Amino acid sequence: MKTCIACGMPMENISDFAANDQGKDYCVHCSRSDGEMQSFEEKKENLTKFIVRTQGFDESAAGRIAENMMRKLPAWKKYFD
Amino acid sequence: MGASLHMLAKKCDSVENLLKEHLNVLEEYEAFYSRLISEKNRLPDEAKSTFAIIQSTVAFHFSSVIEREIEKGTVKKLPIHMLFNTWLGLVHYYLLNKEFFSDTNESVLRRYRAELLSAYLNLIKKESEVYE
Repeated sequence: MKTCIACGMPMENISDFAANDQGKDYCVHCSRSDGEMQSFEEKKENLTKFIVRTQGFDESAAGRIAENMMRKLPAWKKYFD
Repeated sequence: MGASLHMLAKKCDSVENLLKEHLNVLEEYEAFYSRLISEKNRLPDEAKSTFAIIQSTVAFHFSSVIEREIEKGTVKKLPIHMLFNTWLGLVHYYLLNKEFFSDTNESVLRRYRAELLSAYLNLIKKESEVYE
């Protein structure tokens, strides 16, 4: 089973893949409406907002968690080297 | 533990089933998880970060299911983070005070599972959806 290179989510069903395309290495949550993968800044901002919305954390703490999540993922490795 | 949590929302079509699965995973790792939450603030930054990532995974699955229920009108329209934090706070309180809730080595989550589920679900469900 593939996992998303940009967020780590396991992609089991076709609807999990960006643009329903099983050839993609990233998921529906990490793609833009045109099917392209979000940029580093877009993903960081979206993850931060998501953490604030679902866990109520302070925005700067949420931003640090988002960066630490991204640090472990292949799509963003080059931004932390 | 992270992998087990990832499988939660996939097979959960209702908030009841999601919470039951969450308790199943926590019960499986209860001793480790209880120690983790009790010592988290004294752990190195790397371990704190891993804990935050695991909780964010749970929050992701929780929010996907609970938002569907809010849209269906079965769960009260409350902020997602308060619904999530209330559940987590309740479960953590029992884990952190295990010696008061159980004087044996039995799992506190197994012993209070039904009560935790029914109390929480009755707090968040609309009145027409009372959970028995």
